[in-house]
Amino acid sequence: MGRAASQRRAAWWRAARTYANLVPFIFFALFPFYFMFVTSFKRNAELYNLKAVPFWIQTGAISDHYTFLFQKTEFLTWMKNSLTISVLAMTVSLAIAILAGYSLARLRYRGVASFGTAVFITYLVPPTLLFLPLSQVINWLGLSDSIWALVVTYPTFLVPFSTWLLMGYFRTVPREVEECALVDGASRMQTLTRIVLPMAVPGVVCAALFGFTLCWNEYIYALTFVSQSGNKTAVVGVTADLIRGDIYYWGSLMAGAVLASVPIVVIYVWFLDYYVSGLTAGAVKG
Amino acid sequence: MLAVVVLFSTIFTFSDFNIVQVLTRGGPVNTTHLFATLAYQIGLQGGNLGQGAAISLFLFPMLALVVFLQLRYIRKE
Repeated sequence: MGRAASQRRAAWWRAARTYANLVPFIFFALFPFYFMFVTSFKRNAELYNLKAVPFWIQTGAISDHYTFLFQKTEFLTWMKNSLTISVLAMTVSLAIAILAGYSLARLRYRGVASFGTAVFITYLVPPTLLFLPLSQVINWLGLSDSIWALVVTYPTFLVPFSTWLLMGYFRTVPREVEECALVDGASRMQTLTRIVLPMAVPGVVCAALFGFTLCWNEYIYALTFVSQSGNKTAVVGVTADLIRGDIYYWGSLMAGAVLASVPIVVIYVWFLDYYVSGLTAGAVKG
Repeated sequence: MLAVVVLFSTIFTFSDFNIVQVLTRGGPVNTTHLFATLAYQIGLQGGNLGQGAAISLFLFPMLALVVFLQLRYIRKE
């Protein structure tokens, strides 16, 4: 009796220590959001007052910065552009990456291993190396200054990334299940769509989430290929139109940053169940 | 695994653009430029595409070396 209680207490302490270790990291990760949020509700007078404490609001919260964002800038259009571009680019890349990842993980043909390495290396070529040549390609395609320029260029980094991710995930799907389907007369394509994909849903969701986030946060292509304000993405629009020369509209910048991070938070919370099951599924054999 | 993380952070730090562009745009007087931001300034804003491409391509041999070394290291493990 006494021993069970002391064991329970020891377990409790262990858990408490584990969580205590997490606290600095959580603080490090969440503080920027807190600061963003607080700053976006401050009066300008307090914001620029060097004697005021920057970590909380002293003279009352106001929503002027949000009003400015919606009425004086094209923030809603930017959000819509970001959403359209991210969803389209992610869908196209995922379709390509599922086929490519499956073939690299399961099929045997000449040079399959080198193709795998090539995909990995392609992912490591940074966008900052590619944006000048790609801007010429975009001009040549006649897409410059439209959101389609971004829809066609984002897959250049999304496809290698998702292929690499999905290749790893498809390898964890048991080969025997697939062989059963093949023996029963399913074609490769049917095996992929009916057997492998349903089992790989967490992997696909994971690739989709990361892909969406990468698109949403993409900066250099969006800055380079689009100059008209109405075609900008949220990230570029907020930083380009609210920093005018040396003048930073800090309140509205922070308000824009808060609102632009909402969709990411929403989709991660929405898909949390799939995502977490993706991380732990298969850990225990039933 | 550590090698992969080192590889990634090296490459992404070398080729960073966003943070510099948002915070300083390479200024004051070009003292905070990285390859990418200088290439952007000269190649696109200055209109000298060839010179900009040369600057950003200067990244390539260095990145290739890093990738080569790391891949060899990962293979050996």
